[in-house]
Amino acid sequence: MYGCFSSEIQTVASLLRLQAHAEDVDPRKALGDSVNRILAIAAVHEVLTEHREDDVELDELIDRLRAMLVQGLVSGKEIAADLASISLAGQRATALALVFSELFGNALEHGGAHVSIELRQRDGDVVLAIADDGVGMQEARDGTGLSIVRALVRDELGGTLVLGDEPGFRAEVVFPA
Amino acid sequence: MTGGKEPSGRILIAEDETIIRLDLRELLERAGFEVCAEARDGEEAVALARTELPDLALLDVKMPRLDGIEAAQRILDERPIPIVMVTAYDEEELVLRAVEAGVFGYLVKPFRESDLLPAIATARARHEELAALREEAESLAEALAARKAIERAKGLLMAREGLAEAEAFARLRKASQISGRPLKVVAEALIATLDA
Repeated sequence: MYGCFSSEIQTVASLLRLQAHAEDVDPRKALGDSVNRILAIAAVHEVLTEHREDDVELDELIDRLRAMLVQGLVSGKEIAADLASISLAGQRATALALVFSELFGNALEHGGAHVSIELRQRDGDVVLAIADDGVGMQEARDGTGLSIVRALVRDELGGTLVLGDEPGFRAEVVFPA
Repeated sequence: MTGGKEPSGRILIAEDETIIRLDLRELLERAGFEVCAEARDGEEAVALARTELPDLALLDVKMPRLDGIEAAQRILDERPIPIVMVTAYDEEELVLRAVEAGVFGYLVKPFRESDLLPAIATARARHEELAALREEAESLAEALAARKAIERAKGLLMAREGLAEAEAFARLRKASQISGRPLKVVAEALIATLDA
């Protein structure tokens, strides 16, 4: 996801096509979700360009994505974030950016008034958890976004994704640093 | 599609970028193919080609550990199948190397949905052409070997038995008819006996 121009454009085209093939999705929402995915990739580039480094500070990246995703939303959400300072190489950071924006976007959309974000280190692993006080697991949370998240967590981050009700909804991504 | 055939077959995809790989899988499945294996680098592709025995492989040219061209070469060395190479438009040099490796079809990034099936059809058609040529060359080589053996056996019979060429050939043919073996086999047996 990090390389020459035509490959970058290919990634964007593939993201759009995956969404275009999804069935029973409101086109307006499908487009909005796709824009957010593209912006998530762009955010990684911004951070990389600003710092001229190969690694991305995840707390900075998540802050940026969070501000971006909350922006277009009706207010009234309370967001708590507890972010440790962890960095990740370019391509994996892009995967994480997509994973985060998808899970956080879901929490904003389907959750209740409170959303919490947690990024920390645990036994050499990185743990990213996003929880909300919404109605919990539901079919509306499945679809293109979640299948992209599953594939990225497994193949690019080499980690696992656990979804659960606690109550509300909680998504936890664990992957080797 | 050339040949008017419905797309079918088991395909191996090798692409290190997850999003693009998901996209390729979905496009292929929608077109009626079965994606039998997904590799994230060239080495995985070579290993999966060995165990999954795909009908066709779609390989990204730039992959970690082993690039698509090396992977193609190894796959073709073990078991020739049609291969489509996925390249970026600014990788011309790599395309040339791919041609040398024996890759048959190309898909250039960023690709359209409608680019996929023609690339696969081209790879299949070229692969079949090459296989047919190979078979023809093999049967030609065999015919030539038979011709040589028969000439040599005839020569030996003429020298040892004082036969004319036509008589020598008649003798060989008779031996072939009686034994029910091809002329070439009879000729070789005769050479082995007389030329010892």
